[in-house]
Amino acid sequence: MHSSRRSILSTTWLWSYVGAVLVFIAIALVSANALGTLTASASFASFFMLVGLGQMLVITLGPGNIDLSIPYAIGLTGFIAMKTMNAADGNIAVGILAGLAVGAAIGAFNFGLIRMLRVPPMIATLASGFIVQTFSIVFFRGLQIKPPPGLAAFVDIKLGPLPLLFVLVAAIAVVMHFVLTRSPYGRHIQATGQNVKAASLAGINLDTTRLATYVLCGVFSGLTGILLSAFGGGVTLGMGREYLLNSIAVPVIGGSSIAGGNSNVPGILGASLLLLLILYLLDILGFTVGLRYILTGVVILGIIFASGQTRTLTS
Amino acid sequence: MPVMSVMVILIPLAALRPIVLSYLGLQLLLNMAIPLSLATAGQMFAMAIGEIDFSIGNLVSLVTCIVGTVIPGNPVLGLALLAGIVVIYLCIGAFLHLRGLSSIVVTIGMSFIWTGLAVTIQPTPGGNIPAVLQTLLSAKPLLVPLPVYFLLALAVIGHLFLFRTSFGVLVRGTGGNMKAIAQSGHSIAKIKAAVFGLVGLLGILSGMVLAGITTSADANIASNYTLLSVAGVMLGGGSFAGGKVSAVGAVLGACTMTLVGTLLTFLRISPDWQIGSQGFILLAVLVLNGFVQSTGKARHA
Repeated sequence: MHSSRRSILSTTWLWSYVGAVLVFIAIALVSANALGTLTASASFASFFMLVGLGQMLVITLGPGNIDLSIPYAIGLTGFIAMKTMNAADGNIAVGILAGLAVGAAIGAFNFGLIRMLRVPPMIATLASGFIVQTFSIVFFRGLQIKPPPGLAAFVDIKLGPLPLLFVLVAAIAVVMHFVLTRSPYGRHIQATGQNVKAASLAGINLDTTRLATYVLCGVFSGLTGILLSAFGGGVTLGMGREYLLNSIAVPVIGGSSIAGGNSNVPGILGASLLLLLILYLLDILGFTVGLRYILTGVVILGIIFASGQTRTLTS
Repeated sequence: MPVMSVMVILIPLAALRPIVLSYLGLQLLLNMAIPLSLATAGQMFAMAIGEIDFSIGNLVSLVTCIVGTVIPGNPVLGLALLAGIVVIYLCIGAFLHLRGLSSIVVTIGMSFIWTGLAVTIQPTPGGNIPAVLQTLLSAKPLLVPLPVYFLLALAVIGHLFLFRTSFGVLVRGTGGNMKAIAQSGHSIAKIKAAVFGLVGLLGILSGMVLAGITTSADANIASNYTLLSVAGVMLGGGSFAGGKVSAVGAVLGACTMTLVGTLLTFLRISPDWQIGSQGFILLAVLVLNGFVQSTGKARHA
């Protein structure tokens, strides 16, 4: 009895793959170029995975932990990376480092607010998001900075039907899977999410664990900002907007508990593909933008109802 | 505390441009605080029972589209849609409890649905807001302008509702100690359904007022209301823990968020800094709040 319960719990992520495969079959039925659709959705799914991984780590920390600064961090890191690269291939490495560093700094700032001001994470990251967005507006608005040709070409490389970008991000996800399930850090965040007091009594340094998590989430946002700028041919201020809600939807659809303490990486990959494939299927079927939004919402709700996500205990 | 945060903004405003304290000045200054305070009051009720509505900004935008596009052509359909929204909210509240769902996730799902409906109704900003709403909102009552009466009324009604009615006691009790309320024979599902119905209703009112003021139906007009309303509740002394809320505080919090922008304009600071300054104000007030509270009693994070 106990083991069967566990096996169901541990395979909640399977549903996202079942859904993704079903949607892909539907695409194959209605589209002459199903593989092309897979390629296109896999590119955008890479970005969903990156923000999903970051948000997943934060959510794992437990009730109330959520990073609302992700969309603004994507914008600012994109701007800083592109500005540093200045469209020159020779500056790609330093530009990436700059973008990731800014992402990490935003994460550290988030943690600093939460820890020192004793503000709930949702409010701290919301406020820092406002501040980060202001930096983007003040310093970079209206700047048209093209990505270096080398980087733009790199994010466009295809390995058969899959973009190289997707393969690399999937590789990052594999690493994160082992970080989450095998490394001391991964166990610390899961333990913290399950029971803060017990985790603290077990000798886990809560501050270090939380700091590392918010910094990692910032780094993932930074990576998203850099790659998205390269992919889209430049940075726009609202570039990260759609990643706020999706960064939360991805881990949840993938079977991670919104209440924390119980996350999984395979679901991130499945859920990202599922969400993007649905969008492309609806697009092929000629659904309007409005209907695509509505059905995305219905899918998110359907999965949540079916999987019975437990509530967040904010108290 | 919330009074102080408004004063911190209002006093320099008045010092810089005394004319803002005139009838017309106050009206212009506080007009946009009406829709935001309604949405914030809605968010306050959700947070009072320990939940949150991540879709309220999308809902308010949708309502402007219904008011400006559907109602002029087909009033019955428009009103049916608004009634449908309240019913959906009632169901959300009940389901949150019955299925033990997380309000963050459910309302994120709902936000896609609201925006989808709004974009379907009104793909580009426009619409034709009923003249009644515009006339109502440009009314010029005696002594002080409309927004002042309105904000006072909202604060007083909200306060009386929370602290002087038996339902208000149940709402606060559900946020503070759900088990106690359940054990005393009340249905938590019904309470949550009623509270979410109220959230939907306030969101609809907010959208109607916003449409009347801006005379525009726009699927994205209130997209920042979600975050601003959460910020307003927190500024007003509310907390995520549930049970601890203030209607007066929420209204003042919404005013503070509205006034910050004007103050910066008067200080000749580029409007670019507005969003960031809202962030700073939010943090500053919360820090002060923390100090005030921690001197009183020991707090745990």
